[in-house]
Amino acid sequence: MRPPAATVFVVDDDESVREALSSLMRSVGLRVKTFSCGAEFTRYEREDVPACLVLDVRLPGVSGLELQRQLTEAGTDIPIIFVTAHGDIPMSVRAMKAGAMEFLSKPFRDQDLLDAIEKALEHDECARIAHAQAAGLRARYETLTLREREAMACVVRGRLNKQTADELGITEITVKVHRRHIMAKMQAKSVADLVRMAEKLG
Amino acid sequence: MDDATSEVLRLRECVDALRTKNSELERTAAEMHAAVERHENILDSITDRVYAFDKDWRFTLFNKPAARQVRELGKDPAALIGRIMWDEFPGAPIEEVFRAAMRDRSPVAHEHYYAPLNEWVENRIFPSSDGGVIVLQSYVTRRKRIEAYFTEGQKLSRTGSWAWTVATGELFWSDEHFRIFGLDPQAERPSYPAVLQWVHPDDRSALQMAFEHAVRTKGEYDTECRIVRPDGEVRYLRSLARPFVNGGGQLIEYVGSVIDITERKRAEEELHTAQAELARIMRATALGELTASIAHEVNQPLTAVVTNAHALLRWLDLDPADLYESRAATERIIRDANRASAVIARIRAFVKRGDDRKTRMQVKDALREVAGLVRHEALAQGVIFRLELGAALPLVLADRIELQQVVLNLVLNAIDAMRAAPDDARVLTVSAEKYGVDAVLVTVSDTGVGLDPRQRDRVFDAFFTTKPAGMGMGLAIARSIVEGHGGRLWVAPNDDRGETFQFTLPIAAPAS
Repeated sequence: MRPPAATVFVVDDDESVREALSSLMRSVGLRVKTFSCGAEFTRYEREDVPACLVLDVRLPGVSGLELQRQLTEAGTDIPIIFVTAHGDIPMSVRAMKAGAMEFLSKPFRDQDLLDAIEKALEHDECARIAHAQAAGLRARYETLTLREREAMACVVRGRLNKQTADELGITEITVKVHRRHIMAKMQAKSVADLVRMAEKLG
Repeated sequence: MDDATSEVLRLRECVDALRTKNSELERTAAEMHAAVERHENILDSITDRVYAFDKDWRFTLFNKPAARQVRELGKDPAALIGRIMWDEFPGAPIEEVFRAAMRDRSPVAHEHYYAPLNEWVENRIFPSSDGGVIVLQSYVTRRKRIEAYFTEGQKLSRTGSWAWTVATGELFWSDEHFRIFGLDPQAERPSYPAVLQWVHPDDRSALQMAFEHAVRTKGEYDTECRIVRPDGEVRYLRSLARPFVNGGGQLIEYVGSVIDITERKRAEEELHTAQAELARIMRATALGELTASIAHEVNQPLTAVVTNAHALLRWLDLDPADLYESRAATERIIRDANRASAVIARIRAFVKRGDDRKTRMQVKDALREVAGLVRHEALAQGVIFRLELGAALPLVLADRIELQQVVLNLVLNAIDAMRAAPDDARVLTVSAEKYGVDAVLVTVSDTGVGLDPRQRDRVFDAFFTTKPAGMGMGLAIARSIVEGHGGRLWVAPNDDRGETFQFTLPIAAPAS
């Protein structure tokens, strides 16, 4: 199920731990890229592929939790798996509330980490698909004329053609033409389909 | 000339002769009187009491001080002449000694306490030419008291006195000196070779060198040594002596004291043990503060070991197994396990009770090891830790663990002091550099809240602390360790913010 180009990023200040994690991930065929600090990771230009981040909580300079906050603020929603040598409960709660996928204590079972990575990559893949779908929908909506967008708003609210014509001050015939254009441009199979799209567009 | 005339002339001559004789006699009597008076004056001017007795113990004479004494005893001195001593003063404690002197016709000196007068008296009894005796009596209470003070003082202070005459090699010891050596004053005759025999074999040559050097240079000496008493007990002595030189610059005598300092030495040893134990507890306490950081230090390599082992199994499970990766993972396991073990060994050495083990070492190595212990702690407290080791430094003679303890203590204090400082301004700098020609200077500087001047004066006092849960022993111990190494530890405020603690260590003498 794993997308072929998926990449695991590791940020840990300890070289031994980086080497070990890299070896473990490569042994199961994962692509892995390691960094010794948060700044190094944020500077790195990532490919547009599914990814997740294995992040040490305690780091020199920018801490793991701080890096998580920075990424969220920058709109980067890469799934994060935290690892820590001395994780306490408040810390893990904070991390999980801020959207972390998993919080593992060092040393961890390899399967726990690999499962978390699997889950995170799947999550990222789905998020990417959803993101791509939303982007397509938005693009199709952008092709509608102003009048067509107004007509679509009436249609998805369940107005009859006559009501729509009265509201927009146009003839029923014109409304029908708009509807045909809307359904074609939005690639909607039915009015119900169009309603769902409108919901997604917000 | 008729008979009558010649008779008159003869009588006249007689009268003249008698007159002459008479005046001669008068002159002689006056001279005798003067002589007696002179003798009496001499007798009376003697402050000691003088009594004379005839062979039957009848009082024949006493001087004024003696008369005064007789009156003090409630008798009339004038009525005493011709009376017998033992009738007037029956049961006197001195009777036997006095009678022996009379019988043996030889001078005797005798001291005794005379209760009716509450005085110590010394009687010197001399046989006189008339077959009697003359007694000279002095009060010696003051001297007795001084002697008692001296003896008591020697006993209490465990100080013995000795004098050594250079020409004859004769050695005099006070009673306390004998007692210190566990010897019987009656049975032993001290001598220099004998003393050397009683000295502990390990200290013998040092003492001999010190003493013989003093004699050669006619100088004073002050040295410590151990002696082994006849019963085998070892005592620590301090021995001091001063030379006495005559006008011609010739060495006459050495006068000295030996002080039994065994109790002090034992107390010092116990103090040393207690201090070492306290220092160990303080080290353990300091490490306690670092538990989280140390756990991290150990956990990181262990995490790497476990993860590498998991990876190793997976590389081996591949078909075909990836032996190249397996080998690499195995090598990393060995390396990281050793790293974890080294951290633990370092901590164990640090907590272990430390005996005094000074070695020639690089200050930098100790600083690096401390840095390894506190790096994560600094990180956790948001402190930037700068280790500035600069150029090559000469070796110092130091106890590595103790030196680390001093630095660790200063570094932990610095981190504590910066807890309240703004996040962006927590900088801890540890550096080492050469100081003057003969020392190395270690500096631990923070940008923390600093000390107020009154605190600065007291930070090195025992039981002084600015921390709610502090024991107030850290800096006191740090200072005693530094001073035990012949260095100094001090503190001064920084120009902008925070404090700088500095200490020096003398450079080790070149290896011989």
